[in-house]
Amino acid sequence: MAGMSKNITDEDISKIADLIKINIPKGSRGKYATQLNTVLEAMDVLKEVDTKNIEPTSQTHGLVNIMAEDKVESGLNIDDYKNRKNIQGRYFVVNKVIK
Amino acid sequence: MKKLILENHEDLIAKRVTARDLLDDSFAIADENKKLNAFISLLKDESYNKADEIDAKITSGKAINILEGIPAALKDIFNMTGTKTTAGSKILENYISPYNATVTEKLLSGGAVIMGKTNMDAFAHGSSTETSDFGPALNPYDNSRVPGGSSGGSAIAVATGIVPYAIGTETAGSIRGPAAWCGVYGFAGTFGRISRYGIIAMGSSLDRAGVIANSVYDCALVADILGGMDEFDATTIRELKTEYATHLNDNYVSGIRIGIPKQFLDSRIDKEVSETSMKVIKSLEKLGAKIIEIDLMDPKYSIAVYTIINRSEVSSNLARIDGIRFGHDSSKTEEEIINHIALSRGEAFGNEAQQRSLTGAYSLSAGYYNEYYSKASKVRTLIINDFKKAFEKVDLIMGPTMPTVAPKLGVTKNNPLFGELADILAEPSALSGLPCISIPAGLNSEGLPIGVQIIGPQFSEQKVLDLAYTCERRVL
Amino acid sequence: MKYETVIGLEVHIQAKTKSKMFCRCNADYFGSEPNSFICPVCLGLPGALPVPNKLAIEKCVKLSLALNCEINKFSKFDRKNYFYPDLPKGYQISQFDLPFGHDGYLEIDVDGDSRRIRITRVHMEEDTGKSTHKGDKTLLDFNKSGIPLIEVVTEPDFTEVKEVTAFAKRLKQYVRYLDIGNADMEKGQMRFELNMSLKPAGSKGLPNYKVEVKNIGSISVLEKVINFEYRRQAEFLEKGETPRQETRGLRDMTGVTWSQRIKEGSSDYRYFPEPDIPPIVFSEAEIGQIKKTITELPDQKKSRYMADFGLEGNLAETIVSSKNKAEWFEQAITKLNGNKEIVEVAKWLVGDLSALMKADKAKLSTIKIKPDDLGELISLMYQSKISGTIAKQVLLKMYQGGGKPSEIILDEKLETISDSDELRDIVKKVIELNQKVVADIYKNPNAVKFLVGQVMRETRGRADPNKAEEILRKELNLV
Repeated sequence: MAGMSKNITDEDISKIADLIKINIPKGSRGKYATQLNTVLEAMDVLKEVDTKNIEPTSQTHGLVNIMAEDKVESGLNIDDYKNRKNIQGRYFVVNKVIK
Repeated sequence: MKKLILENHEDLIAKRVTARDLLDDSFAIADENKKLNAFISLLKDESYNKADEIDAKITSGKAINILEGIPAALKDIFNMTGTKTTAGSKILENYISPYNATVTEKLLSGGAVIMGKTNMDAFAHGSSTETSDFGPALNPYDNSRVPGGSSGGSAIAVATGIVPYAIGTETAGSIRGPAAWCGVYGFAGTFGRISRYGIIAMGSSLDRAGVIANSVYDCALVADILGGMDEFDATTIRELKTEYATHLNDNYVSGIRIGIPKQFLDSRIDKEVSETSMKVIKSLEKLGAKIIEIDLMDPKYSIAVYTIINRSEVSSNLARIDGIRFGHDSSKTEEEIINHIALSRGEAFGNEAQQRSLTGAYSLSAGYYNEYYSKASKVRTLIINDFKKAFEKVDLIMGPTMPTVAPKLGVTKNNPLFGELADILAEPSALSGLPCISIPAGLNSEGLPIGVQIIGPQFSEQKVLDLAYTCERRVL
Repeated sequence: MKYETVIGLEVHIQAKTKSKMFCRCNADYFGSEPNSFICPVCLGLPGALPVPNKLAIEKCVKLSLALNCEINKFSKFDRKNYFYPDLPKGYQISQFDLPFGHDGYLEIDVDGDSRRIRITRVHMEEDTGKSTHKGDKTLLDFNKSGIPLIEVVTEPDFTEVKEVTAFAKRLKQYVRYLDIGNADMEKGQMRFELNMSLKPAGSKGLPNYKVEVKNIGSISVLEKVINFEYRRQAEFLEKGETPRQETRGLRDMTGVTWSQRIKEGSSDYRYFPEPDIPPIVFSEAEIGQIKKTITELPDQKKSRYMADFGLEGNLAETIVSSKNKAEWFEQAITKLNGNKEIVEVAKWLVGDLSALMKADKAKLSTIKIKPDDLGELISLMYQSKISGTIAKQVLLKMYQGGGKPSEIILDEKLETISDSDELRDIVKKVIELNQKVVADIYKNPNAVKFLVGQVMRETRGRADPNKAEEILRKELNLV
């Protein structure tokens, strides 16, 4: 999506919506385009900040090397699973993915 | 029902009330306040069973824990086995949790009687609880106003006396905000103190569980019970437990340096809110605190950083909700599953969820990652360092919790950044994962609650709670 | 060939651990009932969080080191975001810019020629669930979801199909030697993805297109795919056209590839650091500890066998193809001195013994013959205590009933008869019984051979044939 202008268009919304698999009907795209534009304009403030030589932070806790021992523990039983709309037998069943 | 946990506990062990009595009370008050729409579901069967179990235990002469038998409420963002857990969203309307969040587990094994799952902004994307897919919640002080969010339901439950404490989550100011606007206490410890396992994720590097209650002691008590290293959450601090409650100090004031950020008192803050906050602060000064004005980075940067980081994480975290293994599945049969997924999500995700997912995806997409996500992550470092620098000069930071009192319903509709502006005073500390508490500082001329917040450096929960305790006991 | 192939390989290897990569579900899922090893984490339920498997990470680092990689001392996981029904979270936890291992190589042997294939990176990620298509429906089984995967990516250094198969085989051996995984391809424990293009032979630089072929489940199919793609892509180039840059898949094991309709833009994975997993930081000491656990690798053994024992390349290659075989061989030769005997052991291991085992589908670890036994047998043969023919008989007896060669030889009186007196008696007897042949001795050049053969028959193979011939000639006054 490089090359998309800051002025987000309905077409852009359509493309992103496809990436994240949310069906946004034609009529609503304009609304989201406007919203996205507003938000992005507000993001321009970051350009004012000098971040040369600054390392990014993605986690604040400072932890490292948190790993688990290789041990088996019991999990869920599919037969007890209550969200059964797409379950047939022991499988989750969906319409075919067309390749 | 009494307002404080200890009072209820004493009543139970003195057999002045039974757990069932407390629960009856709880549901009665909940019923009286039905129109406030504080709950998404009431757990009558489960909670009465639990209450009866505990009553049997008490009758047989066994000792009970402090939380045992006392009703509590849980924000509907916490998985609880066998209950609907919706995160305030239509897409999860019928999702039945097959597991307990660690927080839920700790409450249940501590004997808490969870009587209901509270209302919240859908997927915690908001600061009003107006954007819940199950209808807005209303402020108990003025029903034409919002209670704050996203933990609005939990705040209402405590403010109206339905429960003495409720659990919420804080991503920006989602505990502090509603606590302030509903006139109760809201506490969130350092990011990583309480396990996130089982909390429907919004901003993974921001989300924290926290406590809403009627006193500092109760906040500390519950936080102690809920906190600690969890093998199911790799981002929990490696301490087995905390002991804030037993160490509370109500004389933590003399010589303490309290920083008031210039930015927290600027023109954007409502006049009465500023004045009430300053009154509390001046009282602390009279008790020996040193009040120092500090200069933090303009909160507008935090808003920008928060928006990008939050929405990027959100867009990714919501991807698992595709209607296949759980959640809303479109009734229109689409030939191809991928199209079907898009339909299901499009139908049942609310406006906020869609908008944030779009923004987040855009921020992370090839070509924009550096401009948005990467840049935001770097500015985040600057914000964290800004606080570190400030805490070299002061011990704690104080200021108003919210820039205004509770606004009228409808405020969220035309402003996609409403949540962020409302959290202008919360986001910097949220991005840094710093411990914070909102304490009720009084009412404004319209009788609406004003909250004052205390923020401390990382891992300084005891200090934050001590100063809050001191305020509670000696100032308010 | 008119065109050169430019090939890069991506290999997905399931690491052998008891539990899955980010949860503690049982990882030994193959063949189990669908959805029997699932939990909130690998099922992608709201609120679930990943906690990485330490052993899986150690195995990834171990393989990286064996592949001569640099280890990123500061490493992390990232989210790779895309939609597919068997990807429950809507993202895969993988590694993007800081893989555990990078910039390594693997040396391969093609027709005696040593070549180096550069390894770009070795990283850790999780496997997806399994989709099975049934009519117009897809059945989803999440047992495989979350299984630890190590991904090895090479530079486009392969220029011919032999290199690819040699690499694939050697890598598979590494995986088994180092106990990284079982690499059982029939169980999907090792899979290939191919990046392939053609350029005119001798030209420099990389071609301006690349075709990707996914989900190749065996080395033989890999070979077929390469050959198919060569022909398919060459056709375009012959016409002066460029083959389309695309992803292709397989529908069967014939090597034929099919275009997969991938919409433009959908491979924007929006990578960002995984917020739920703290970074992984290694110290030199820790890396050193892992390195110490790397035992002698197949190519190292092969070189050593060839240099120290004079084993021929292909023979050495066959022995090192499995760690068990190599170790069995090394044990078998411990008491032997001369290279001739050692080579003989190798030949017998790979030849006669393997043939016996193949018939029963037996394993080295459970057969009755112990390595020392074969060593001793060959040693006895070389000391001329028994003949080659007898040795084969002893081998069979050991295989069937166990026992030490020296004991069997003694019990069944199988020792070579080399005593002149004893032989002379037998030779005399043979001469008696074959008067006709003896009479022809000057006319028939094969008569001597025949008579020696009769001596061998008479002694049931125990006579020393050379000595027997010597004595025979003496008796017959032949030169």
